[in-house]
Amino acid sequence: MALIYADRVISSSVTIRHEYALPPGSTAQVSIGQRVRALDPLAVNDLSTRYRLINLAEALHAPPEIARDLMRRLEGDMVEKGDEIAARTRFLGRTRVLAPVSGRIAEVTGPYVLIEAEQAHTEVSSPAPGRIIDLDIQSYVSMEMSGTILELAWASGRSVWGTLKVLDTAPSEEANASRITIDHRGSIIVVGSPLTADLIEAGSRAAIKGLIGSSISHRLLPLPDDLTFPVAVTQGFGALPMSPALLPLLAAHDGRDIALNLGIGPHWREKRPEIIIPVESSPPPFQPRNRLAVFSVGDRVRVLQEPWIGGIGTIRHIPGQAYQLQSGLWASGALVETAPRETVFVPFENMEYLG
Amino acid sequence: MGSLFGDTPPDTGPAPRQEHTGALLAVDVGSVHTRAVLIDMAEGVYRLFATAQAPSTGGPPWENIQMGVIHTLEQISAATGRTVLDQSLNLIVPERDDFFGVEHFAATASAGKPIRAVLVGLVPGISLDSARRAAESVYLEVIDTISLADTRSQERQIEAIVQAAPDVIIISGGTDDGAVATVRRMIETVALTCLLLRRSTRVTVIYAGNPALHQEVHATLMEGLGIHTVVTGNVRPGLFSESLEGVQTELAAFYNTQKARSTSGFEEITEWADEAIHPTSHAFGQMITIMGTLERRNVLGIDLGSSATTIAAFRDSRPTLSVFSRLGIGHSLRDALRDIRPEALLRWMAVEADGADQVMDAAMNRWLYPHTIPVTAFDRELTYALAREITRHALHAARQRWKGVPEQGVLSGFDTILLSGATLAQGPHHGWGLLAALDALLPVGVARVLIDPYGLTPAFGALSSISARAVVQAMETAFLDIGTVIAVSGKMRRGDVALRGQVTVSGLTGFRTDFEVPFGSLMVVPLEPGLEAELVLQPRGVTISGLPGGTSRLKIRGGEMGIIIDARGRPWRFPPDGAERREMITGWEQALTRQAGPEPVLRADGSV
Repeated sequence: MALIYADRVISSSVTIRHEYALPPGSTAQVSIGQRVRALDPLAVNDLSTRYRLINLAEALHAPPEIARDLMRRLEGDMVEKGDEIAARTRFLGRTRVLAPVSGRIAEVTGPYVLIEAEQAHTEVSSPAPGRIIDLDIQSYVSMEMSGTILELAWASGRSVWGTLKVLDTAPSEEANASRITIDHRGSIIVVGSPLTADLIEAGSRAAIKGLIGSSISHRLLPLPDDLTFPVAVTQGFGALPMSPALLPLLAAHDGRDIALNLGIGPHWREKRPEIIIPVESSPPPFQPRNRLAVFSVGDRVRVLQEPWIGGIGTIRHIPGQAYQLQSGLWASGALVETAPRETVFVPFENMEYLG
Repeated sequence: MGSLFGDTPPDTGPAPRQEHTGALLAVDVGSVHTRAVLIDMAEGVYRLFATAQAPSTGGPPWENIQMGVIHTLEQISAATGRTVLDQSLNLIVPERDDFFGVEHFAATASAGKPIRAVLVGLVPGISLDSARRAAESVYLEVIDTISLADTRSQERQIEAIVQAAPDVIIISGGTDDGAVATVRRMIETVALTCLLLRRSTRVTVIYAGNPALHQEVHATLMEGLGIHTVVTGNVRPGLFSESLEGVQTELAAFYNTQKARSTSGFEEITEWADEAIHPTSHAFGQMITIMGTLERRNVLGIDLGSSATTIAAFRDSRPTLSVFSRLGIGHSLRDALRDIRPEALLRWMAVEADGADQVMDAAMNRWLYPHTIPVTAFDRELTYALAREITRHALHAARQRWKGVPEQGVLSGFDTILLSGATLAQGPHHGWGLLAALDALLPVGVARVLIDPYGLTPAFGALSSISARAVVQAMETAFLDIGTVIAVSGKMRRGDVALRGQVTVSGLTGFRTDFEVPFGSLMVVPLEPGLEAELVLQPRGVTISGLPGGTSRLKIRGGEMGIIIDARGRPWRFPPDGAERREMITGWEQALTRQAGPEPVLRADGSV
């Protein structure tokens, strides 16, 4: 059966809804119905990253059950390094416990005092302009955004908002890093070729906001920790040129402000990386499938594996029988026109539906 | 027809009519595929009535596993004429008659992110190892361990756990009547961590240490701090004894709860089922145990999945189950590739690759699109190279947990090997999965090999608690008996005759095939399923584990491929020259994936 295994969005203007799961410990900073701009904080998170633990019973040579009574400060108090936080007076004198670090007394339990020494403040930002449609203050925020959506193959880094700058007019297999100059500072750059170390380095020097290419070699992974901008690819890994159908779509929005939205959380599989090109109007809502669908003649698809990986085409015919592939497997699939007068057989598992 | 994995069929004859429990339906929700199976009775015996497969729908854009499940059930209905879903797409259970509904439903699942766990124990080689073995029975990632050997301060340990944000903390340590004070200090560390964790995340603590502290654990964590705490049997009741079942059962329950919380559609499917949804790995292990128990044989099961590899062994009546959540051939391939060098993959490939980059980039694209299938010969070679290396790593890790078995080297003592997962069991030819398994496992001696072409082992395992009889009877038609592998040990010059043999087919008077197998090669002697034969083996300069030296006579049954002679010896070296190596691999592939070998082919009806 011609079941669709993969479904990727490359849309014209639509209204989409995204739900963002908030990292543990976050608190939403928005309300339902609120309009937000790109980069507005949706939630903040002040998680402690360093603790000091003090056993009062040991430090004061006191029975654990009375340790709490020896506290001179309360749970929640801010303390400076050297402040007295507990003391015990005995006939031989006074024993004191001083705060070993500056911070907040987070917990006092049994004989233990826990001081939060450092806190990291992080924000979850809105990837693009939109409206809050639902939220749970500690677990998720749902947003509605209007725009053209292009889901990508892979990305690494954080979401950014910036001006799209498309450097190429045609896909190519080689990149010229010298094309990225200081003039591109603050832009999200698109090249129609594979990303290289030189390109990434040139992007770093020019302080760009994001870099999108056709593909990337596994050798460049993991990307340097100090890379300040996100990197994304449209096709996959290796040295694959950008699909001729994608580059014009991006070029048509050259100079526009866009979001390179990588979702929230480290597991990108939970949320595909995408480009959102916002529109002012209120286009029709994107209708996600509520049932498994089957491929049909006329569907636009993208090929996901060799030998035609990355190619975008149209299903021209769905044969009734399975074909044997070069690998020896027998597979059902479709004849896909990937270029004028070039039709190839692609197994259903190896293509994704584009619309 | 005899039993699938032995000469003595188990006593599972036709069930009396009154034992008819109705139709049984099971689904397994994997990362890539959702599969369903319907078992019902025909002529007094349970049979496999229908199977179905659809894409799993837990990920984007569907985000609800129920969609894939419903699709498989619609396929089951179309294939059998039995309506299993009502108009609201709810399962009709119990059965109304022979055409509406099913009597029982069971489900297993492996899709989605693994559970994040921190292990806390006293001694790394003892209680902590037991906790790890128990933890590795479900889809779980150990993100940190804390023990007496941990040189970090208590503050640093707490920081590490808080930043790891685990779903579950498993505490072990102290034998029964053993250490109390040191375990108590570990509990204190966990309690303090939970104080912080409870503000940001929901964590469950499973305590499986010294039972003397049961009440204290409950009072401190559950009553004192309100942390969800489960107290179970000690994983290490004595220095030389281990009891994993308690933690494994609790982890299975926790997996169920966790999935219901985080996966849309999970709760709805659970409501249809007689029991909670089992982790696929547990059900797979259960099925291997059933097979081993029935036949009183040692059985090894390998399930090479997209997200994880499961190795279940039943050896000397002792079951072990190991799940490796970072060793999968699809969703977790990127993690697996951190441990696999490109050269290790290239050595298994019969086609020339354009260097390590081509191999690794293609593997990463497979990770990006785990549901895709190999189209080119290069992709097929890469797929089976990955299968070999992932299985090899998983087996190596699993063997560290087996008792009385060398931790590495050749693998002996398994009478039956079951291969599961799409790569091993649904390849272009059964020989591809078999060759990958032989190369990864390095079995020696005589073993029957079964494959699970429909991916039903977990579903059968889940149904076994409802009706073991139904499962035992139906699995005769569910698994494919590939044949018998005879693998020699030893070294000699390549090309010299390592083994001479004769196959004399029972019931076909005078039908005898003689063969010679050169050292370094593989050979298939076709013997159709349903045929029985006497096999005479005369090794020359090599040995066959489990058989006496000199001439041996074996009663043997046919299989889809027949008799597979692996005369490559153990271990072998790869020729340093690339062309020579590729020629060697090509020879092995051709031997197992084409019916090359002594002609003529025998058929079950006796025709030639």
